[in-house]
Amino acid sequence: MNVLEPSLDSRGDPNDSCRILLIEDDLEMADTIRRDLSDNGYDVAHAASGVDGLIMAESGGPDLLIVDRMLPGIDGLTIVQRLRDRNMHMPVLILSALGEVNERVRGLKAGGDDYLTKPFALSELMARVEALLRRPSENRATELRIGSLTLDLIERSAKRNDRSIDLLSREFKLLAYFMARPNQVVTRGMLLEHIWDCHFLPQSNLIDVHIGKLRRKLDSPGEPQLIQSVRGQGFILLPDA
Amino acid sequence: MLSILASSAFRRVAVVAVAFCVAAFLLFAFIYWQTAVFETRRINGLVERQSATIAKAPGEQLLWTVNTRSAHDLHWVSFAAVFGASGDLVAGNLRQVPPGLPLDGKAYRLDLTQLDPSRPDNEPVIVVGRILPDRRVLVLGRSIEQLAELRAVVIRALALGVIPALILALGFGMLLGHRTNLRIKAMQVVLDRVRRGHLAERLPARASGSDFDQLAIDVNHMLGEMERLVNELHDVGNNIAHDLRTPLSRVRALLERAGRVCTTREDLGQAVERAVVGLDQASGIITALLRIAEVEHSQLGASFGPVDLSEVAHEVLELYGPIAEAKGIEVRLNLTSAATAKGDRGLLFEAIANLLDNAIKFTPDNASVEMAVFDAPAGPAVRISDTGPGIAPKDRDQVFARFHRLDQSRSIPGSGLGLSMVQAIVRRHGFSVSLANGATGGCIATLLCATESGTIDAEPKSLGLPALPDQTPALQSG
Repeated sequence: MNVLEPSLDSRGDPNDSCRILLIEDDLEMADTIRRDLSDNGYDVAHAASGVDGLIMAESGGPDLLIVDRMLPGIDGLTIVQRLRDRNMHMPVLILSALGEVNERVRGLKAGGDDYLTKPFALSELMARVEALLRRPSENRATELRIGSLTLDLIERSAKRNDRSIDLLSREFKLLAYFMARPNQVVTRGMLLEHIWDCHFLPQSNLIDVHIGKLRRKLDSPGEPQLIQSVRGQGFILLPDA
Repeated sequence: MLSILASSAFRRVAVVAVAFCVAAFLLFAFIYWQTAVFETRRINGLVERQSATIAKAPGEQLLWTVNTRSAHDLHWVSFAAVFGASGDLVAGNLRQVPPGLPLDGKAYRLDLTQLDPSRPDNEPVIVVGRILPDRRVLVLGRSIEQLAELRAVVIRALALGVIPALILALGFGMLLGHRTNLRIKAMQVVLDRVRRGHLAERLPARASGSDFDQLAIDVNHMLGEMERLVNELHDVGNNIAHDLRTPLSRVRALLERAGRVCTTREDLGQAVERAVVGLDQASGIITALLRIAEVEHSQLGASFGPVDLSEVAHEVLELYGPIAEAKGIEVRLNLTSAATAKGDRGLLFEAIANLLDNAIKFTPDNASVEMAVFDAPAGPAVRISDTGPGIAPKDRDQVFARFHRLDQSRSIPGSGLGLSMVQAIVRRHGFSVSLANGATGGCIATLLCATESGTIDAEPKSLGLPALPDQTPALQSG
């Protein structure tokens, strides 16, 4: 509680700063995550136990919750369930050192929005936090337009300027995912989960090859590259105009 | 001694011995009973007939016969007497008409004291009384004491026959019990050593085919399997340690040196980046191992359903197509017939993906890989043939073992866990996967999506709830 209050009061930029509550009992891990989130402009409060975390989440109403699966006192899933029971619908990212598929399913069933297995890359965490906070609104737009790129969701066709681009269905899905998240880092893990519905890590560098293929279709010689690689993190769609 | 008496062999022999004794006793008792009944009836008839014959004789001859019979009887076996109408003794060796004896010419069983109160012993006697035409009374009798002798003989025979047999049986039982105990003790010694970690120990077993030897052979089989698993686990442990230590020691050295040597921000950044790659590699191995363990032990039955293998093969190819393209490898998809397997779609996808990944990895650039889906007689199957180096027959089982990497593949990146994952998935479903070499080289991996028994153990078992009483059909009335 006493950790949350000052940080809530000291919100510097009310327009930009999102309040994130981190519930994590590994203090060193928590400190690193907190610093990294702060560096990215988020307002972070930390709770080291499940009980504190639940009280802070209920009273503070953060914009996003990052919660460890295994905590002393109340475990992560119970916290999420209690919050959902009380109609608190902030996005929740569950961190866990527990196994893959089954635990993941349990985490999402309990009301988590995303699930990240330890150890994870900080850049992966940042990308997912951003994705959760900037979740594309459920609009009924039939056309996505980013810079010179236009995607017709009804006809499932793509155009850059006036040049029409021939895409396979999976490539279309991939591009639509990027276009719903312009200027936002998208990681390989996110793409595997959302585009290929694949929850294991293929050993080869598959995603890069797929992105490479998509890039060759999107970019004609002389045009700026739309999907750029972010070293050590993933990819980002940058509008060209 | 106590342990011998408690041994199962002794107990079994003791039960048989007791059963034998009871049977022998019943048999002898039956023989005695039958003989006694027969003898009594014979003597009854004899005495009745004699009495009738004597009664017909004329007066003088009758008295003579009675006197002769009683005179010859020295051992109180045969009695004969004639009494006057007033009950006084005329001739013979009885003092009075036995009180209560019906004088109707029929045989009755009495005690000797009833015949002669001066005799104290209760010998059984068959007696016939009859009234002669001249109102005198004739009494004939015969002791059946010989039947008691017969009983004594029977009991003696029983004792002579059964008691030695009983002693023999108990002795034999103790001997057997002792031998059984010796064998069990020997087994206990071995099992105790096994428990203390000597897994190579085996129970002594002869090829006699006895139940004990069969048990010992079975236990030895089990011990062999356990030893293999433990060794495998040990190897896996060593391999995990090795495969984890390799990147960790690299990272450690890298960071240590970077901290000492790097002076610029760029140098340090580069070193850290390489360190992170090394750590990712290490955690990737742990993740893969946990996945395998999860697949091997999780309850997946609920997620089982019909899976269109052609569709899955298409999707796998879509995922891996670009990477094959980048190597100039052509992947041909050969769908000869519709094939539907029952299983977990995600896992079957992963298994096929791993097999294709392997095939692409080991196929030289600009060669080809074929993925075929077909409905074989044995069941739906997916076959992936590459044009790589193939796998020598002696290595085929090993490639499925965790972390096993053939020497020639050490240079190709990968955790060596891909085929283990395939194996885990296949086992979970009760399917099978086999490796063979093609006629023109290359490896052919065949995933047969059919269970041997036709059932899958992962399927949720029926709860077998009893029917509720109110669910029984109501009787039709009118």
